[in-house]
Amino acid sequence: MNTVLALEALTKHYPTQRAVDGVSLCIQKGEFFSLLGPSGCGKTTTLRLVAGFETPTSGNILLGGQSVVDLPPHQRDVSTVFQSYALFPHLTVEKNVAFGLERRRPGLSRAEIARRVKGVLELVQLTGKEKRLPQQLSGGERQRVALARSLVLQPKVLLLDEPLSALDPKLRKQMRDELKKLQRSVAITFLFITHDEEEALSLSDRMAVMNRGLIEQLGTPRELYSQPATRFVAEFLGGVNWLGGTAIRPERMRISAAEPEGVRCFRATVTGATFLGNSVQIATRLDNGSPCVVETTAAVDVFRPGDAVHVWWNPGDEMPLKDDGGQGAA
Amino acid sequence: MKRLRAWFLTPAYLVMASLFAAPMLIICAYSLLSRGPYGGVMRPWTLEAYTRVLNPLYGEIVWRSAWISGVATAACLVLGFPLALFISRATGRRALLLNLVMLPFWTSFLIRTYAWMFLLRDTGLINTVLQALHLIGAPLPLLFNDGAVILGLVYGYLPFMVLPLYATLEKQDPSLVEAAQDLGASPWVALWTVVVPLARPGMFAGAILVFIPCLGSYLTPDLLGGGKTVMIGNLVQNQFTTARDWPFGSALSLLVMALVLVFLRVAARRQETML
Repeated sequence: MNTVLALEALTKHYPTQRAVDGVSLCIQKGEFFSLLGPSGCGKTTTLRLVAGFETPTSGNILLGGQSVVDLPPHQRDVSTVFQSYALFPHLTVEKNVAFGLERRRPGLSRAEIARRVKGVLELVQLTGKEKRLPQQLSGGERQRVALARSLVLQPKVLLLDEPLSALDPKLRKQMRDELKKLQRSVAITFLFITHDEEEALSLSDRMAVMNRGLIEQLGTPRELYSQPATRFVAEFLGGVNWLGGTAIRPERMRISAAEPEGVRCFRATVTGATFLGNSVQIATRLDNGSPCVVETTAAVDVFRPGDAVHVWWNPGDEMPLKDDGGQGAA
Repeated sequence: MKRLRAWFLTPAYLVMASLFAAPMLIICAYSLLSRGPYGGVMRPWTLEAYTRVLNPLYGEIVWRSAWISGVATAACLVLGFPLALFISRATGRRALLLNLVMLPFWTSFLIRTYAWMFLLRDTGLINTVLQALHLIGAPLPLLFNDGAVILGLVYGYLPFMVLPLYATLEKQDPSLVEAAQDLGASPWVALWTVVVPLARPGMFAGAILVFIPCLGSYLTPDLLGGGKTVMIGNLVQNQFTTARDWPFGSALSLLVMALVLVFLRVAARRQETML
């Protein structure tokens, strides 16, 4: 197998909290792997354990087949892109990027370091900004420096701690696409931490959803979206409606004022509608009081809060999911 | 509104004018007059005091003061940096540790300097204990020399180095050290390549706060130097008492001030280019 990073029953317990509570997973060489979960689910602690900033309570971390649990951060062949970027404010872009090479590859000549720095800055499109200081750069440019600084080392695994969260939404989307392209072209294994399900779904080859220090489910984005194993995963990835014990995605729901024929339907009242450009999200309340969200591209009727409607779904659109109360497989 | 502001500022103006500006003018005037026979000043106006300042004998004292102050400042930096770093990293105990740094201020500087004399003199605690343990035959010459003066200055002004250093170190983003280690720097290398360079503003502020009062110090060289280690402060004091040469004492005071101003300008210039 081409496993580059393996976590074996990794745990990190703090006096008041079990931050990571037995996480096992294998990441393949060249893979874009995401850890997705709400804040406090243990994903950042997992990343810090791999980087070496935290010591595990128990369990093992294998990097390229070797246990790295006893190695300090500077001896582990991984590199982190920090959420805050953590660029050295007193060093120019060039020197920030050269920092790791100078220390991790002591055999390299000055000229070779300069050549590699130039190459990676070209890769992240920062040519011409070599002599700038971090505070003279925009948010997106700082992000690229942080990436370049880690990429230039060609680590076994690149660890990214919510690297896009500090960017504004438009830039975030653009950087997301670039990140994916970049990962393909450099063929470095990425371990990507995020709380944004859209990022995880669009970027990952495989991903794991974490909750309360545990992995709820691991698989390809398509698997996790179409066959969520737990209610937590379903609700975290795209949301889910519960109608009479059946789970349906909002975009699979149908809505109309008139009662449809030949299908099982529920009567509901519209509580609000959000126009999203290419679709409309209609919030409703079923007669039994539980909420139900309908996302539709072709709203034949215009619905207003207070309207009485019928909601239903086409047979076969249900999700194979049991209602486990939403607390996950804890 | 403007009136109210003027009213509130008046006391400050009065204090500054009567206790700062007026004495400054008096000292300037004194430095340009002739000495009176029993102290004091008299006419005619003359530049004689300033020509005496240029005497190499006094130049040596100025140089010596700067040298002692420089050594004391460097020692404060070397001792203060690890301490400030330790306090800035001691989450939860910072307030306590900072209070301990400032604890000596609760007692008069004069009394604390006397305490050092009792520790350092030939029959003092250190020499007595060392002799009782038969580690030394005769008392070590600990007091009344340059070393004792530097010790006293370092002891007295160390908090002024620690506090600004702490302020810059405490503000440093801890993820910067993590990033350095992540990029292959051992903790020691991370300290020298990231923590120390980023603490330079604090080091500068601390150096200024220590060097300037050291340069003008009078009490410490007087008591711990035993009058042998003469610094500018002692020379000035001497002119107003034993020597009864007020114009020369005034000219010397202004020289110290000029030196400090030059030092501050250079420091400010350095700091600008650094940031």
